[in-house]
Amino acid sequence: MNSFRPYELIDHAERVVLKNYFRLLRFPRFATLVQRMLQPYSLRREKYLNKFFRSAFLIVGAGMLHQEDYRALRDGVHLVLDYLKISRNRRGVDRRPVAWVGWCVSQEIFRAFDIDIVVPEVLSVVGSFKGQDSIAEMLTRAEAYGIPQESCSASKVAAAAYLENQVPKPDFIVGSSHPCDSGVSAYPTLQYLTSSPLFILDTPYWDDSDSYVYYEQNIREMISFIEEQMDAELDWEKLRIACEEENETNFYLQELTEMGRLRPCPMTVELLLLGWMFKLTGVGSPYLTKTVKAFYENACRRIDQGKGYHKRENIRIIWWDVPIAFANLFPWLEKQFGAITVADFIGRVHTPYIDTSSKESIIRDLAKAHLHVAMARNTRGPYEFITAEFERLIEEYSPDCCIFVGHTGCKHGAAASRIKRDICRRAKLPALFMNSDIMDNRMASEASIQRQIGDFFYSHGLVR
Amino acid sequence: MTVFDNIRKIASHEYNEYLENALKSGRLIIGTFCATIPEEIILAAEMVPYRMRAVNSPGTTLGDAYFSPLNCSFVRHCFSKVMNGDFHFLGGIVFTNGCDHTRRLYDNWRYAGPMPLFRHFLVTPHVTRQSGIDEFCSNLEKFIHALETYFHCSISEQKISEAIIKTNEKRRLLNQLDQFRTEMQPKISGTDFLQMVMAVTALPLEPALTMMRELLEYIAEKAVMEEKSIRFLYVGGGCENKTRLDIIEQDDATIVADSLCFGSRYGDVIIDEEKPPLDALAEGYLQKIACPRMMDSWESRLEQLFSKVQQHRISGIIIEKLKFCDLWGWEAFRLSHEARKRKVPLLLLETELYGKDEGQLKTRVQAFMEQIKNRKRTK
Repeated sequence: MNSFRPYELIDHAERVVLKNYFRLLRFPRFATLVQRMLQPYSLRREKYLNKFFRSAFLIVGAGMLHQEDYRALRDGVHLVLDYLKISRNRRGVDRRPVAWVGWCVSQEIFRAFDIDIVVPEVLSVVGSFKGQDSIAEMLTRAEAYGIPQESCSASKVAAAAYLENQVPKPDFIVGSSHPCDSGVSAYPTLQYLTSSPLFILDTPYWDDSDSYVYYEQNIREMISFIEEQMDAELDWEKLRIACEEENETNFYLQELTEMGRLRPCPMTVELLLLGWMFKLTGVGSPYLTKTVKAFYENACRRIDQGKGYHKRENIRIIWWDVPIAFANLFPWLEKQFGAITVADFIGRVHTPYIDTSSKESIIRDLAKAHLHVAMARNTRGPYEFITAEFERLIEEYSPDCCIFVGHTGCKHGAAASRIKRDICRRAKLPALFMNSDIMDNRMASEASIQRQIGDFFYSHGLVR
Repeated sequence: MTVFDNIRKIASHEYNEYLENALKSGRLIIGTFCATIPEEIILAAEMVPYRMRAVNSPGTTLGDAYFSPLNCSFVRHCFSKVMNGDFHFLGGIVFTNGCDHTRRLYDNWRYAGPMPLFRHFLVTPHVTRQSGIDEFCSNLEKFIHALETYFHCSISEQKISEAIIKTNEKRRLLNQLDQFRTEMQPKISGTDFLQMVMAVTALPLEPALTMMRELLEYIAEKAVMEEKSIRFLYVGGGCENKTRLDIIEQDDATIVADSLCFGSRYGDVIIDEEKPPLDALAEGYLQKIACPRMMDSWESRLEQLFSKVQQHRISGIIIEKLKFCDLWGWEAFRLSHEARKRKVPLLLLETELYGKDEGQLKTRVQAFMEQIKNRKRTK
């Protein structure tokens, strides 16, 4: 096994890829042109020469986004760059406290403290900017340390990231009891490895008023925990501003989410997924609002003109699972088959409005909002939390087929596969249930996933 | 027929004559899926708590139609049995969010629709702090309300207190029996202890108490087993396959302590009889069950486990983990690190619940025993 230099993956993602990409985005027309020229080279396969930028290129659409969206992307990329700077700048002595926050925990409250946030699972996405094998290597290392092989690869990378010096040591950790057993097990392990204090947000199972009250109590306890760790009080004004900003962000993303119902589809799922990634690195930031507002306005313009995002819209897909992270397949689907993903599991936003009129209303609504973020909304409770939304999508988004990734870590998802399969059968909708892992190309390579999808389309007569 | 023969017979079947008698006398049997579901409440409703199991399972075929190969074999075996009608005697069933696999049992059960119709999901918090205890307490109230409404029964505080006292007695007897296997010359093997817990969790309270008292008398008079050179601590979740323990104890080894759902973990939950009953139940079940689903109690689990290692002169730890169990997978990772630090030999067995792995298991255990013996020799 090759050894990783400390912060090697973050360094590469920040300095080599995103910083240059950020510069390129200063000239959106040129950026679009460059990406389109590189498209034949970046879309299909990872090779020796494209491996150092391809994964990042795919995340930003590999030239399949419109020029006006690339123009808007700059602010979002700025957020990710800031985040990555924080993640690798912990080597010095003059530093702010670092909090590790689970990727299913919304971060508004943390932003109201003078604190640096690291989401340990983020490395499982940005780590692949140095090539898909980097993440496979991290996973191999995690397993060599003894971390269970069949766990969610995001959790495995989180632990390996620390053991391999790819993330700074936390001053404290906040995790949650959703979305799955991997998270439930990984956070006490991160605490064990780092010897840092841990706070757990205990996620309720149901969606009733008692559950919200319990979660509200959890949030209050979390604030006390952070105050204790920071030896400082929560700045309610900062929190109010972050929540108001988030309300606006969520409004635009929610509108984009629902635009997927239109035919032709005026948006692309890449925009929603970018929104999700930017939220992970900078929720409550005006940069984020600016980016998604532009995405939204561009989509509105296309609706007015009666145009779809892409000229070809041969297949409308519901991707009711986590997307493949080591190689974003959506640009390939769009280019190769004219297959548009009209609804997905992670990018969709259905977050309630946060009333910022008082401290009480902020906490009350934050509790609701946290329980409605991606994954938390669908996975923390009974199967109806998945199927109710899924059935609505089938009814309203006019899909031609559904794709389920079958991510190894999602045991609860796997245990509900019969129910999902039956829903598709009743709706007479072809469904592909793959066996793959969103971060681990050792389980199923990009080529084999592409082959499965291609075969599925051909065998159901969706393409000729 | 000795009392042990009777225990083995009960443990190896999902149904027994005592349950049949309880049904004939009009008592309902309520299945439970996890150690965190307080059986005292079911007892207080004058019903029989029954711990779900997959013994006698012919395979996972029917379960596989609902679950995926990525799900643990316990739920697939169990659900196959459910669909096969093996649990026809149940009047109700209680689920909990013990893990991702078992929580979907509730969903698939409702979706597939087999009997019984009373299906309650008791949400158990993942934290042991006061807010978690309060939440669990209020969830227990909802559970009581569900039982009362569906079965038209009444569950008073008084009845719960009485059930706590009786169940504590059962657990104390179990702990007394546990003492007999921790001695240098044990009187009960690890396999027999597992069988006994399997039996008493499938019996109405009264016959369970009688059986345990008889067993205590029998053991007191029984000759000690020959001293074996290797003393194991066996750790895991809902392991119920006695063949595996048999193989381990065949040679020069014995399992003198465990931390298993069908083992001494059951006896750990002695509930405070002085406190208000629901508060005591919530606190006892959340704080005393050494299960990796609890996210903030790793340190107490660790301390509990390694104090057993010290107390009972353990030569090595064996962890049994079902394939695809994330909770025990990560717990095993942490325990392996600690065992290495403390220089305690540890073997991780990753298995399916039932299967033809005896040969492989035997080889691995023998190699582990050799390793321990070599260490002793070179010390």
